[in-house]
Order: sequence, then structure tokens, then C-alpha cells
Amino acid sequence: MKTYLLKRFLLVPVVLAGITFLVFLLIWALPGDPSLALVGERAKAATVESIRRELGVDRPFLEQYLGYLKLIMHGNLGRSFYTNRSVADDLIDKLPHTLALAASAMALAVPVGVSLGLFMALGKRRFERFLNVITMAGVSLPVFWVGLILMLLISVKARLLPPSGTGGFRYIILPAITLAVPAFASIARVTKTVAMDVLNQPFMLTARAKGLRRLRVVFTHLLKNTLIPVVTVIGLDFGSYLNGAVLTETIFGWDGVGRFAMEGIIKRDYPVVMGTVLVGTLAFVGINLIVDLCYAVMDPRVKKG
Amino acid sequence: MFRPTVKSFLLFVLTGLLLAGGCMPARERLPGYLSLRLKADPTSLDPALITDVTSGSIAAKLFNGLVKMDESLRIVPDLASGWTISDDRCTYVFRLRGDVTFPDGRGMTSQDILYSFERVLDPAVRSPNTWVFDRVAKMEAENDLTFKITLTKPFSPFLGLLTMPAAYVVDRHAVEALGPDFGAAPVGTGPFQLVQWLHNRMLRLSARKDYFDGSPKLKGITYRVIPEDLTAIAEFEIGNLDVIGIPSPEYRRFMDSSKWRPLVVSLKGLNTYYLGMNCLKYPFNNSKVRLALAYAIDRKKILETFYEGRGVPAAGPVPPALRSWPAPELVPFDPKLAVQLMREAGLPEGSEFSLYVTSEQETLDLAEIIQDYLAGIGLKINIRQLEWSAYKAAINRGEADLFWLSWWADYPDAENFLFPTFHSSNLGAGGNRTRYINDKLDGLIEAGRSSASDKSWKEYKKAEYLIADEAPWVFFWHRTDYAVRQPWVKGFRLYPIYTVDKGLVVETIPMHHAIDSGFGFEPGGG
Repeated sequence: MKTYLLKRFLLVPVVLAGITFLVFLLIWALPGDPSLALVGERAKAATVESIRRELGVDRPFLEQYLGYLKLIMHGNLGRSFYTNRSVADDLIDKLPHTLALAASAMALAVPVGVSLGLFMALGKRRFERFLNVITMAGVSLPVFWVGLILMLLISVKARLLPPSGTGGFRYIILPAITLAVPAFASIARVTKTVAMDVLNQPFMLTARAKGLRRLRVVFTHLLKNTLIPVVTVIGLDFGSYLNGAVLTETIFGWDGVGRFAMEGIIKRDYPVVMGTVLVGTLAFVGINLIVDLCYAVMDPRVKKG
Repeated sequence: MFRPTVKSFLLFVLTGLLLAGGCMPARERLPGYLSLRLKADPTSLDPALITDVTSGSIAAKLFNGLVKMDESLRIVPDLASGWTISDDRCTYVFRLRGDVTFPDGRGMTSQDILYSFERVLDPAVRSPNTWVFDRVAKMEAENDLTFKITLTKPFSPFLGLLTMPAAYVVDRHAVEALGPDFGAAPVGTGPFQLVQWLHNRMLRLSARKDYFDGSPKLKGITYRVIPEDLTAIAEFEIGNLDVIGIPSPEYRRFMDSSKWRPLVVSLKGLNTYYLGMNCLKYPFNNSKVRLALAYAIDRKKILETFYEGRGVPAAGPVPPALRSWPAPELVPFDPKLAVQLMREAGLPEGSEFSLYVTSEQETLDLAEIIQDYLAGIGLKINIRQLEWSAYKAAINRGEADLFWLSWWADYPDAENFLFPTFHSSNLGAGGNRTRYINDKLDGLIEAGRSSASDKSWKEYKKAEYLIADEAPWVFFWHRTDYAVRQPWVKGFRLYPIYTVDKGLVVETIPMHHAIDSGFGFEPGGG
């Protein structure tokens, strides 16, 4: 296990270097020019040129990329081309919001999703069709639709919660529910499939046969064996939420990393795009590491292997 | 074995929630503050760097220029109490007010003006607005209250240019102390000062009691950044926003509502929407082909149906409010004449052209309408939808045959709709994106720019008529802007150009506490 972890840690810089290179290449290859977002509708060619020079975007690709690597080696993410603010400061400002939103969404989605999945696997067949429709809808409904309907019903009609804004508990509820809808549904569906598979395993019969109570069988034998694939799904969802949920953040005016990255891409604001990608990659790698650790905790076979 | 993970996960979640909840308490709406919506966070509030209307409209409340524009678009004193223009129209001497102060109490002098203007021209500042001072030969602070500008050549729109954010006066001490961060913590002499800016969330301005032109009626202004239109409407409907601009798809909803209709304000904007043609490319280098396109599209009908009449038909590039002469004749819808013109020009039926548009749905819908009309005269139009930045780069390079664009006033002067957009020195990024080159037109525009400001219109008139004949643009319309206010907002109106609005007249009357059922709160900071 230790060597495994060590290997994983050693891989992190390689992954980061690979990702930054790829993303740098991608935005460099995109049509469009960062200086154009800066100069407005009326600029002299000389002004555009001098701004391109100042930003360094007129230099060859490799030189720009190496320059960026040098910058991040010094722990600096640079300044936004557009707002001239420090990218690191902006990210530090927004990360807690994204973290809070992702965590709240998962806090809703995981318990609801897992219990619903178990219920679907164990429960009476009579609810099956209904629950299938619910989870299918959850997976397929577009986020912006769910978000706007929630806003209309809860904020505008019932006036229970504020429609938008980045703030405390009252502000996070609607975006968290919106984000939790597809997550809970996919978790429920995966849980159900895996649980039904596990239920057919011989050891389940053994457990019942040796006289264990039904609940105990569910919680120790079934749950434990079901959770491994479920944790993978949770990890993937959580990882992507930590990279920002662009639509949810936009609808609810939530000041998170997703919107920040999106605006950076639209304006070809290279330092912003690179900064968010870097932090997002770190988050994803970190979550995957935690997921792997969870495997080891839940399944002794992983630890030995 | 699984338990510790559950516990630590919950702990993690709780920490997240506390982080969010703990440092950002919801705060009551501040009485006396006007609550407005911004679609995006302002780029920068450093006047030297501002190129967008959002940032400019906030900067107008934080800063002053030597002169400003009043509601009827006349140039009136601001920091200067008066000025004289020499007989050769090259030297401007401004007498400054002696009672202007920065928020720290320091008096503003001509040195501050010199510093601010020279700063725009400093390459290290990377200002995209250096063109504002293009014709300036010399700037001098003669004494504390006299500022002199000498131009290289007479230039009638010059005072108009001085009303732009680029010519606002900044607090030298703040600039020197903050460096590149000045754009996030701007300090000027204006009626408001910035007290809080949570980027991408909200800005708060508070009124200055000691403003030289009388303090604002508001206690302050809160701008909330709400990117999504429907969200902004939800916030407005429950009374969290005091005024919103009406997005086009929501126009009907407000106009059909007996509650909101009386509260809708509108203004004929200083803008021109057009279909541009690349005049350097075959066949659009031929004015007959260009005119054929204009005859082929029923722009009046599109305006009345698709745009629900939210604008006035454009006969030329200059918006009616800036035109002191009779407008050129509207090109009527006449597809037969269009076909005839095409034949005369030798353009075969079935020719294919590209039409570049940005990625908004409304623009795409319009492009399809244009495509359909042009199919009616036998032209095949391929619509190319590009993301904004790529679109702009492509248009500036002259890649498109046809493109859909609009031009908005920087300052209210007919010259602003002629020189940048049609003079041969501004090809591409400079504004002349149709790449139209005509020596005669260049001459007329230049003559207008250098004649006395009360006479320049004669040249501009000739220039506009020439442009109407030559038709490098198919002129569509001048769009009307709509906004809706809450009943408790008094003195609100839309202004033809954002620099006019210093926020001195508008006020909120306290009736909204009664209507509000205790729901008026907004995200605060902490």
C-alpha cells in the first residue's frame, strides 16, 4: 500500500505537466486573440501589437509554455490578462464557494442516492417503475431547467429562499439541490445495479443461512460490497463539481471556479484558464487518491494487492 | 472499517458549509441604496483601461473629466468651470474649479489632470484608449487651476472625446500606491466612491457628502453581478433589484403586464446595426452588388416582426439623435431591382457567400432570416457561427464575405459613426471592418473633423449621403433600449450615453418596506 501511495504521489507532477501542456496547446490552437478582448471595438493596429507584445502572446508556442512553467515553479499563477488581478488571489477567493457547493450537493446526493438505490434493489417491485422514472428523470433533466424551475417555485412564488447570490446557508440550498439531482439519480441507479448483483452472490445466501438478521446482512455484507463502485461514481462526480459547475453557478450567480474558468476561456485569458486547470487537476487527482484509499479501507484485497 | 470514512466525509461537508455560512452572513438590504444588476463583473475600473459600457457606467460615478455631456448631449463643464478655444481652434485653455477634492480631502489641481492624461499615453499602462489623445501635441498645467491643451490640427470632436472614461482624472496617490491593483480599488473625484468590490458578486458605491456638484440623493448604489437574464428577472420581480434592462426575449412579458408596463422606460440608443460586406473582396467591391443586398432584404418588416418594433429603421450610419440634417432616403424592399442590379454587376445566380455571426441565438435567428431573403434573389449564404473571440479575430482579419455587427457611440458625435467606421485609416480592428476605402469620403470626413464644430455637419452630411449611395453596410436599425423600474424608484431614466449618468438625480423612496414582506436581503460580504 505504501509503495502504491508513493507511486501515486510521484505521478502527480507528471500528470500536472502533461495537463498544462495539453491545455496550453489547446488554447494556443484556438482561433481568437486575448488582445482583442482588451482593446475594445476601436483600436489602432499599433496598440493591438504593443498589447500582444506586453502579454507575450506574440512569442512562439514553446517559449510561452516554458515561460509559464517557470512562473508556476515560483508558485505564481500570474495575473489575468483582462482584469490584471492575481489569478491565485481570485482562485483563493472562489475555491471555498466551489468547495461548499460541491460538498453540500454531495451531502444531499450520497445519502439519498445510496438509500434509494438499496431500496430499489431490496424493496417491493410495485415501486420499481415509479422509482425508475424518478431516477431516469434525475439523470436526464437538464441542470438549467431544474435550476430555473426551483427558482420559480421556491424563490419567486413561495418566496422562501433568495433566487441568487453567493452567500450563506440560505443561498446555497437551491444550487446544491440543483447540482444534487443528477448526482443522486446516477448514484441510486449504480447502487441498485450493483446491489442486485451482490444479492445474487452465494455469500449472501450463506449469511442468511447462518441466521444473521436481515438488516445486519444488508448493512455489513451488502452495503460493504456495493459501495466500491458507488464510491467511484461519487468520486468522479465530486471531482467534476470541484472543477466548478458552470451552469449551476451561472444560473444562481454563484461565484465559483466554473464561471471563472468559463469567462477565462471566452476571453482567451490564458493565465486564468491555466490557473483553474491546474487547481482543478490537483483537486481531481486528490479526490482519486482518496477514492483509492477508500477502496483499500473497504476491501482488504486491494490493500494486499 | 467504513465508519471513519463516513465520519471524516461528514466533517468535510460540515466544514464546507461552515466556511460558506460563517464568513458570508446574509445582510439586510441597505435603505437608500439603489440595487442594480450587472451582467458581468466589470473588467477594470481604471479609466485608462476601460473599453466596455459596464465598467464605463460605473466609472462615470467615481470619476470626472474636464467636461461632461448633459442629457441633451451638449458639452457642459465638469472639473473645468469654463474654457476658451483659440482662433486657430488648436489651443484649448480650461479654467478649473477650485473646490474639487478627492475622498481623502486633497484638492484636485491641474497637475492631477496632466498626470492622468499622460498616464493613458504611457506604454507601460497598456491603455487601449491612446487614440483619445491622438491629435494632442502638448499638454501643460499652466498653474494650479489652468490647464492647456494644444492640438496638432483643428479637431471638432475633441471636447466630445474628453467626456470619455479615458479622459477621467485619477487620484495620483492611489495609483502610485496600488500599481496594477488600482483598477480594483479606483479613487477619483466623482459623486460616489467604491467601498466594496467582491469580484463576480457585487460592488458597493457610497455617496460622497462633499461632492462639488451637490451630493447624490441616494446613499449609495449596490451592483449585483447576475450573469443569467432569467435570474435577474426573478430577483427584480421579488424586489431585490430596483431597475433592470429588459432582455429582448422578455420584452413581451413586461409590455403585456399591466403591473410593469407603466414602469417601463425606453430610449432610442446611439447605435447602428448593420450587415457588413467585405468591400475589398469580389463581388462586394462593386457598389451595385452591395445595393442589391440592401434591396433584397425587407429590413422594415424584420424590425416590425422579429424585433417587435424595438428600434427605428436606419437610413445611414448616423443615429437620428446625432444627425442635424435630413436623413438619406431609406432603401426600400425591392427584390426585382435587386436581381436587376446583380445582373448589371455580372454576378451569376447561385453564387455562394459566407455570413459570419456570433453564437447568440437571436443573432443566429436573424442570420437565417437574412439567408432566406438572399436566397430569394438567388444567392446561397453559408452561415458560420463563431464564438465571440474567434468571430472578432476573423472579422478584423477580413475573412468573412458578410457579417452581422453593430456600432455603438463612444461619444455622441456624428463623427463617431463616420471616421472610425468608414475612414481608410481604420481598416479592421480600428472600426472600418467592411474595409471600405474611398478617397473622396476620407476627404469629406477629414474636412468635417477639422472644421469648426458648428459647421462640421455640412461635411458629415455629404459623407453620410455618399455612404448611403455606396452602401458598404446594409443599414438595419438603431435599437431602442428598454428598462423597467420598481414603483419606489424616483427620477430614474435611461441616458443616450452612459457617461451622462452620474447618479445624482435618481432616488429610492421608502415605500418598498411595506410591499416587501421582509424579503429584501442581498448577499453581503464579510
